[in-house]
Amino acid sequence: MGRKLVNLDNVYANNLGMLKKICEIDNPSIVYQSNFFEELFPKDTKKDTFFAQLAYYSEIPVGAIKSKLYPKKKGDIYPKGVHIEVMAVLDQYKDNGIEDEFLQYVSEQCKNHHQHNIYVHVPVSNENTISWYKDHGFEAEEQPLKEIFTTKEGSVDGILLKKHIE
Amino acid sequence: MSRRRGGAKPKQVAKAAAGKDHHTQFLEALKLYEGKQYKKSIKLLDTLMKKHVTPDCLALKGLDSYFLGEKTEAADFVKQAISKIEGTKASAICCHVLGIYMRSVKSYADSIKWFQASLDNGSTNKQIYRDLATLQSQIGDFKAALASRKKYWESFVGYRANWTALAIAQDINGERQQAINTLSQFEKLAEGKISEAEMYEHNECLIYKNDIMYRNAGDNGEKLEKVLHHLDTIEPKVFDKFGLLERKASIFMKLGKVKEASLVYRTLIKRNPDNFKYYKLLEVSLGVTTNNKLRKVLYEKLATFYPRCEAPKFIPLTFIHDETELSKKLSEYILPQLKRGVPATFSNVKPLYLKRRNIIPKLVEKIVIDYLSEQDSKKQPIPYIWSCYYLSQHYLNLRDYQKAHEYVEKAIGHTPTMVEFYLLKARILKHTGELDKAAAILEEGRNLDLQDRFINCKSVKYYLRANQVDKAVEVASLFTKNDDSVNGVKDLHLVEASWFISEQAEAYHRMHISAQKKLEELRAETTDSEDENKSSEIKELEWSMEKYEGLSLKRFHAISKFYKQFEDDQLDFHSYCMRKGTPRAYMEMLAWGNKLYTQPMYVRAMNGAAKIYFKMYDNSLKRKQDSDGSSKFAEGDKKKAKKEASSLTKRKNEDRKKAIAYPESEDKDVFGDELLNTKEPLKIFDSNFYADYNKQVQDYERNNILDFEFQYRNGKLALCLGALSKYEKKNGQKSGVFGAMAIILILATRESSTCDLIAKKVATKGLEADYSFLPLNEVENDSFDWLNYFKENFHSKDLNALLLLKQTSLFDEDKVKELILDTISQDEPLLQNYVLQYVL
Repeated sequence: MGRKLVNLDNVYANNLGMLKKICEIDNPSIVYQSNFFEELFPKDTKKDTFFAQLAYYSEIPVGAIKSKLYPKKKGDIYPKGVHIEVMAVLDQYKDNGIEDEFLQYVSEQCKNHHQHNIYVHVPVSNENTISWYKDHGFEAEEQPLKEIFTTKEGSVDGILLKKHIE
Repeated sequence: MSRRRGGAKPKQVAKAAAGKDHHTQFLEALKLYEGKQYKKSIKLLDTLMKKHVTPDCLALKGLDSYFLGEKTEAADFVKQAISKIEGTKASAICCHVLGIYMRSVKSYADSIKWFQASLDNGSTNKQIYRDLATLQSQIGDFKAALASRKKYWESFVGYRANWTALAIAQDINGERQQAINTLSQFEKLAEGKISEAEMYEHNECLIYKNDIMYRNAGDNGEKLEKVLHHLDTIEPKVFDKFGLLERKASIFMKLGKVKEASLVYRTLIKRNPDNFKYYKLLEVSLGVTTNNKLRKVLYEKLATFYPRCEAPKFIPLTFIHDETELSKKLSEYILPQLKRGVPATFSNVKPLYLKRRNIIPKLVEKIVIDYLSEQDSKKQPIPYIWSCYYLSQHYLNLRDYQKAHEYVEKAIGHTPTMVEFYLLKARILKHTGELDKAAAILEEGRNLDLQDRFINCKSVKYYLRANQVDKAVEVASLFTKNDDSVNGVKDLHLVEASWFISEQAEAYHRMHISAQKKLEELRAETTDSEDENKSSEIKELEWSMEKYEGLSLKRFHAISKFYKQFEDDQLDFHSYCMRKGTPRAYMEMLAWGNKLYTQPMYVRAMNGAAKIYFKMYDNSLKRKQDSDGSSKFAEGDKKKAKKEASSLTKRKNEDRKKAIAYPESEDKDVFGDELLNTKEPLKIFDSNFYADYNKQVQDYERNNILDFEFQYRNGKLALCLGALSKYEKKNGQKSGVFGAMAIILILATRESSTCDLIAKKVATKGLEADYSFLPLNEVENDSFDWLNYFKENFHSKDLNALLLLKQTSLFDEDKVKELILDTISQDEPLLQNYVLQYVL
């Protein structure tokens, strides 16, 4: 007994649909790139490294995270480090500390891969999320980045947040 | 089996044959056959037959060819051999060979004939008796089987299997006392010599003997005491303690020793407190079945003994009348399950919904709605979603589709990652007739969890219901072995997935009807204009229509084949069960075999096939009437026609790959064309479906409507009368189907009807004798309005009855249609749509 109510587990090709569903429900306005989910299970041998997890509340999948390792800097938008590409938790399950667990998970992956920075892009309008990240030790870059999100209404500016870990 | 393996290893073949006489050489060929060297055997036989062609050689050559896979040649040789034999006057070996061949091709009656002949013609091979007994058991000739078993037993008394086999045969033939004696005799012989390995067999035989004794005792108290005594003596040796205790209790009950019986039932409950049956029997033994007060006390007590068990909590819900108390008990039963998030909560309560429809749903609705209102969707997400799920099922059960939909949407909105909710939502949509949407919802759910076989199957089924066969096959193929074919259809046949095949058959049938309707419309539009596009469209539709009907029939036949295979599979067990010493399992298998062709799946396939075959028959009658109706369409441009034909052939080849169900070598008729082209649809239907059903079905479960329809088309009015009166006994003289059958039968006795004169007379006499209230005088009156008579005198709002009337085409089509529409106006959308699209 003494089983935890919330657990994280890997994403598999067979339950990729869950990840997709959670992301789409949580951010209904975002338009994901065509290969955004499928790239976790590439048909050819690609070298990109992803860290993706599903969060289960009493065995029901309720949260999802997908992050990507950038071993080298890639343009101004993607500095070296681990980038959280999406982190979503179903609305009704938000108060269970799932986000914290996700963050914990990403930090560990960061350490395991000898990285010192976690990055995340958030649309400028999404103040709640930005303040959540700030509360968790993230710092915002000065300048918002132009039009990096595609939504159903058009492009949106984003802000890059960064957390440094030793 | 008498095909001995191993044997000598004859290396020298034809060369060494020279010099020996004909018979010795033949025996050598036989040995080669036994050593599975069929080709060499044939070679030797060929050299022999250069000199002298004997039935022996031909028969053996036939058998050799059969095992080499050359089945048509084999049949030919065997036929030649038999033609050379007068009656069954042949050498014992020849007869034996023929018997083996006949068994291999599954003509068991012939096989028995030749095995018997072999013995009559002086074979000393006693093994034949065992084969004979097996075959006789397979065709159900147990009297003959008993004789064979006895002979075999006499020759080989040293084997337990033969004693068991003999006892079983005696038991089946009603010679129970002899069976008991046989078993007892062996027990004496074996006493003290039974090894550890034989203990299981021994225990089965002991309890089987007790079975026979119990059946033999009937209600005779003295004999029952003896059975009980026997049971006590064998108890330490018997493994099946449940069976033993159940037997003990039922003997006590028969003897009127209810106190002892109740004690045994309590022991049984203790062993397995989840078996509802034991609780019921305990009630009977305590004599409290009608006293609800005592029952309540009993179950309260039992609930304290077995706090984690369903039965003592559930059973009181079936009889408590007081609403407040019932309500309290229901909450105690349901709410903990919702709290834990038990998906099956509704299924657990559903029996109560059916049994106590007036009170249970009402109470439960309030309980769950109240409970749901107390749940915070964020703090108690689990009880919240499962309560919504429960309520949705609740309203679906009450056919309040809108509310059902509301609640399932609530659940999905809350937790969109729960596959169950999608299943339920699709089910609701199915009931409201939105089949395509239902399939799409299931697909959405399926994509959440690709490794879930259950939702995969459901998704397939819903696609088939929505007539999207290609998509269904694609999804189903994710879980099948698709080695040498483009999809899983072949594999699904191999694994006998009858759920898929029957659904596919029905989908094809619906698609056939749609194609036919479309074709008719299109033809009506293009009577004179020579539109090129339309003509190719028509060609396409013609092909679809034919293809779908053929495939539908093909699939129904596949199911019939499965059941024939099941029947055939029993063959091995007539000897296997004896050897393994499992007489009780054997008896169970025989009972199963006796109602094989009444299983729901078989009946479903039969009904589906009946629709097609009956229509084929009716159409053939129509065609006879207006034989010049065809080929109205002029031949178009030849070049174009050729091009069209070639593109169609290409299409056909592609379709062929998708539809193929059996290995190509075994079955050439992929689309079921041959089945469609039969000249005798009724006969084929009989031999492939109806005859087996008719043999096994019991009166209470018989489909009298099908009987009637079949015999009506056969012109066997006396049998129609039989179906009519059986139906009347079950459903009364006011029932719509009875009325429809009676009217059809009356009209069949008209002078103008084509039925046999004697049949007409029999039917008339029968109707006069039993149903003189029918307007039999009006038979020849053309102005009598039969439809109106039907409407005024029977429960005319009966879909089955109206469909029966419609099929005969004896009545004004529009009027019947009107009646049908009126009848289904109150039904659920699913049925309405079905009738509108595929029946009218």
